[in-house]
Amino acid sequence: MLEINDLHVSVGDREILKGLTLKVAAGEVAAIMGPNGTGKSTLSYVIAGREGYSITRGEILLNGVNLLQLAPHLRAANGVFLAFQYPVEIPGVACMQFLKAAMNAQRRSRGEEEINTPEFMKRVREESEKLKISQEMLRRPLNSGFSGGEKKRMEILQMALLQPKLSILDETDSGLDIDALKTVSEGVNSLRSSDTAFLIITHYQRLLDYIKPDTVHVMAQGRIQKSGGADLALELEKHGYQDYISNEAA
Amino acid sequence: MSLDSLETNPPFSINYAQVSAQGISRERQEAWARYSKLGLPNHRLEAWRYTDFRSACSKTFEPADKIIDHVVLEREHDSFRLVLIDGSLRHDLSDLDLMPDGVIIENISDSPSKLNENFSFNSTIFSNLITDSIVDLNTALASDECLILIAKDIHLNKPIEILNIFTKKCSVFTRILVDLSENSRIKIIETIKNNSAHGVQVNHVLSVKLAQNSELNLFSYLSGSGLSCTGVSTLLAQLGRGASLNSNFLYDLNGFFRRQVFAKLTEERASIALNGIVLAKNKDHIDNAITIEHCAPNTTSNESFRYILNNNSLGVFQGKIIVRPEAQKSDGFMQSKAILLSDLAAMNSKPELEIFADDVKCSHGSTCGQIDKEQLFYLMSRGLEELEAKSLLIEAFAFEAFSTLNDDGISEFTRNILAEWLYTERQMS
Repeated sequence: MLEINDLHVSVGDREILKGLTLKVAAGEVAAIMGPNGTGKSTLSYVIAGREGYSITRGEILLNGVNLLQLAPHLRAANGVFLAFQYPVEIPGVACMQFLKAAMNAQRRSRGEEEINTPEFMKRVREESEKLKISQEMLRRPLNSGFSGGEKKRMEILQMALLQPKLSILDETDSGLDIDALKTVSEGVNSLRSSDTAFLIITHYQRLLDYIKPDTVHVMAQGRIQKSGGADLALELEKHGYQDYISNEAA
Repeated sequence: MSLDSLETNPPFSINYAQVSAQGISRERQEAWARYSKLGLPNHRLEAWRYTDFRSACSKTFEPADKIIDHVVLEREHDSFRLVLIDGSLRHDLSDLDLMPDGVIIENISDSPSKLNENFSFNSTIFSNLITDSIVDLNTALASDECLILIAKDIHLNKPIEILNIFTKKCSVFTRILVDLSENSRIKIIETIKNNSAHGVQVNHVLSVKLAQNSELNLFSYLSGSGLSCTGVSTLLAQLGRGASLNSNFLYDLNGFFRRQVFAKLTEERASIALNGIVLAKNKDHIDNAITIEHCAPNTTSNESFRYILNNNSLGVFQGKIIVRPEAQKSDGFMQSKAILLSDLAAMNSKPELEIFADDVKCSHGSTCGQIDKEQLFYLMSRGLEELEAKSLLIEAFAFEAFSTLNDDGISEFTRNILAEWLYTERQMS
């Protein structure tokens, strides 16, 4: 589903991603782990299409479509979803207004009919109940004054409503207490299917206790250094990232 | 230009003797005398530093002729209408005979005694706040002067709509006085609409006096498809004990325009909210100059303005809050924020606080910037295309100013105006 080949990305003069190659198959949950400052968030932003990065080499394909040629909204319409590490507060835009606008924008981009209001309300109610999101919260402006946990649950609600093919979770576990972590993980697990893929970016094993990955990739120094199964995460938890950093330095 | 030369050569090429032929009140004469001394305000006056009105009016237009044109007006609001066309009160278009009990509307321009009897309007009330001659000029030259009297305890659900429409190249001097008696509560929709294809010069005054516990919700809308509108609209407000004025102002007009507010909170617990959304494009110059004087304890003022500036337009916000020594426990806040949609647009913002009491809460804030890139990316990453995302953010930004607007109809109306404006600007870019 997702295929990243020899990706080189710079910010200003500094090269952050240095030839990253990664494949994620349909139905797969891939975890990317690594120390701070290795470019994990950069990778997620580059896939989603944020400005400010220069891509000097390589390609990102989603089901054969080169994402790098598409504006962010078209990447979304093609099935990319990024759950932000720090969801942006947008005062003045009501959650419901935003959710409907997003769903309809993607539908329009794909040439589909817009969702009608009763159907929309029904879907929001179903999904928000699963995530323990109150109606009161949905009446507030988007992410405005939300707690860390509320923001992350709002991200997962959007993911559930937009039904992306590829979901990238950028440190979704940060700032969550155990209960919120469980709720969010259950939300993610319920969206796993044979035709969706997940890229889960995290520092810690903890999240992976709740969302079992199929593959684990160690990222350091702007590259994938090692790939393996779920055991690799446990190994990292024991030994840390030291080996991968010193490899590069030597 | 020196003041001496102005005296002999007033910038409005109006024959004052003609205007006053029917007999002229002392008030008008005195106002004219004061105006003649000062002339139109220019940038050397601190309050007019960013808005040089004298230069903008270097060519002055003749007053409107008295020819009654046939005008068809569509109804945009369910309201009691008071219609002025090019400065003249139009009985045929107004709902003067339909006004409900407790509401009296009179044209008092021919009977200055009534003016003094009903409404102690004179510039002396505001003379310590007003340092220029604009209001004096209006006093001297106002054509049909309308007085709206609201009796005690009257609550009107339907708004009174003041439609001030310009259809031809002329100078217009209009004045509306509103007097709310105790415990009365009304809404006013004030629409200034420029349809003149050859420009217009405007000097409009709306003067409101709110007696104890009365409440006025004022929505002012400046619009029009006409060519450049050069002018000043002044709101004078005097608030008694527990009175409340909630003013929301929407600006979408081509031209060089200043809206100034002089408000006095004269008795305890008076409160005023002045909010505004400014939509400017091309070479528009829009100035909001606000002076609020807290004269009594426990008075509240709140100002919130949002500017959306495109092309070469210039926004100005000048807010001054004065707290008198006796006005302890006053609460004053003002905020202006601007989004510049073009590299050539500019914003001048100058907040001033003059506080003479020690137990008060007063603050201000001002920002000027572009659309937030993080917010834009967030929305686009959810599938909204760039223009749609920008429109959503601009709408959200603008509506922050109207947080005290508690009127679904006006809210919807504003949303539509904004959407239309954004759509037009989108087509241009």
